[in-house]
Amino acid sequence: MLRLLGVSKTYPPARGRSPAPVFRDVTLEVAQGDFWCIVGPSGCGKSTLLTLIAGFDRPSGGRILFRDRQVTRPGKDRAVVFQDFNAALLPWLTARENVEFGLRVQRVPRAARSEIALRYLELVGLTAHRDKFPSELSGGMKQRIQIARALATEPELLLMDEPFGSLDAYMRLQMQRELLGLWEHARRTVIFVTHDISESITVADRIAVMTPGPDARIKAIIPNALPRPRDPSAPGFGQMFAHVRSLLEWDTRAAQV
Amino acid sequence: MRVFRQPFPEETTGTALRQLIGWLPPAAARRIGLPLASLSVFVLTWAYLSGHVINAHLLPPPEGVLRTAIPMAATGELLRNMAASLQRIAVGFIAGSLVGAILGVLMARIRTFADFLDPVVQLFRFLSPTAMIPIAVIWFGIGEISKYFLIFYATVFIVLINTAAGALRTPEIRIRGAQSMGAGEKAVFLLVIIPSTVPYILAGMRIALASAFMAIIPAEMLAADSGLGFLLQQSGLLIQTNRIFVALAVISALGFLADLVFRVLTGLLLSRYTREEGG
Repeated sequence: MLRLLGVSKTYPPARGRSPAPVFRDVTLEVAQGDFWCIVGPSGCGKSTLLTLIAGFDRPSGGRILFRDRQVTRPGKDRAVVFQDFNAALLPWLTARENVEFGLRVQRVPRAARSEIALRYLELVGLTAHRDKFPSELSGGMKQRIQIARALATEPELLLMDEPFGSLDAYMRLQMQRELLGLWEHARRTVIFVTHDISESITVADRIAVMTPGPDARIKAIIPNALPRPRDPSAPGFGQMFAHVRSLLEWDTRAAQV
Repeated sequence: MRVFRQPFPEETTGTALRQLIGWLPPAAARRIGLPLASLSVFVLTWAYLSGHVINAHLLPPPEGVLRTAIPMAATGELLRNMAASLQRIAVGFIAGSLVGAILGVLMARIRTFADFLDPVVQLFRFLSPTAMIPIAVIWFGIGEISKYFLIFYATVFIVLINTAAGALRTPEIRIRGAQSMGAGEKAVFLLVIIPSTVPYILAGMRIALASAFMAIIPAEMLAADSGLGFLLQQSGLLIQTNRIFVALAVISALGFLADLVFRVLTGLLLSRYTREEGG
């Protein structure tokens, strides 16, 4: 469904410095219904990679093919959930109106979009708060609105950029559980960016581990077949954690030498 | 170096005052009691200075000013001049705000347009409305049009600069989020950028309203036969200090009321757009 072929991204260099790619040679093949995680240290360009898949920016080299067509711009088939829900949501719209927004710009008739929005608000447990403004809701609730908003337009691919990164640890666990519930219910294809190893093992079927940037690469792609729901105390989780961490740590040490 | 904490305002308020307003609930005391106390102290100080420290012909006492104001109000002189000034401010302010907001949003969205217009805006910022009076009189005469022009001039750049800054501050991911849900250029502009800019436009308009009130006075002093500025100028020529103080009091009270009306109206009509994004 989504293929990345030797993708690289280089920003114009600062004066007097040679251009260094953020990352290069990123090759991935994401199949329909997959849940992918991209894990890596800060600065490895994992969020930038997501930006390219979303079509907000163009790669410097390589190709990104979505349903065999080159990605050149953002599209309603690839919805994005951002970490900063405060900036992403529209503060002048209520929870329901925020969820309706994508349907509105896609010219879904008023009655239908209201019905769809209420369905997704119920799915994320916000029915009682549907007429509240984002400023009246907690961080977790706001992030649920953003997820409901992204799902309401039924995109084929859901791109999530550290979506739970600014929530507290307890809320993060709860949101991971809810997201997986939604995913099992709707079976969307998801690409999820995080620097949290445990989170990546909890949610993803495939974990792409990146090396530190600049000039980052994909170090390994680890299939994760642990039975769901996954609990950090379950057998196998710890081994998987150690494996991912060793891949990340090896590079940290190599970079210091 | 040690940094000392600034005392909070309530700590500097005297205990006598505290007792005076002590019978009010704390929140109401702050909102009503303190402003009342502040105004009372001001008027009392003024009353004391007049006649005791400063010659009463130079600084007439508050009750003298009030006695002068009553016939001025009764004959309709005050109302007529107030209406003249307010009407000029309203026309110039609304036109200036509209043009400023439209140009400001366009400047923020169209890079070439911004680069093209910015040097001109930067130059005109330093020409006060007063500086434009002679040319306004030559162009438009001493009729209403020259006042509209001057108030428009006093408003437009403030609103424009605020609007452009606000539109540029629309969070990038707010725009990207809309794009990823299928919003095109036009939908992003109308449904994301303009609503995001509303609080900045309103803030600019509030500053511009004060600027309009300041600009109307010299305009009417130098080239008009009605308005509060005209009243002020006429009273000055005749050395009628009582009438000068009536005009000054009316100008400040009118400006305060206009600002209050502006805040109440925008609060009623646009409160949705002035919400904080955080929680």
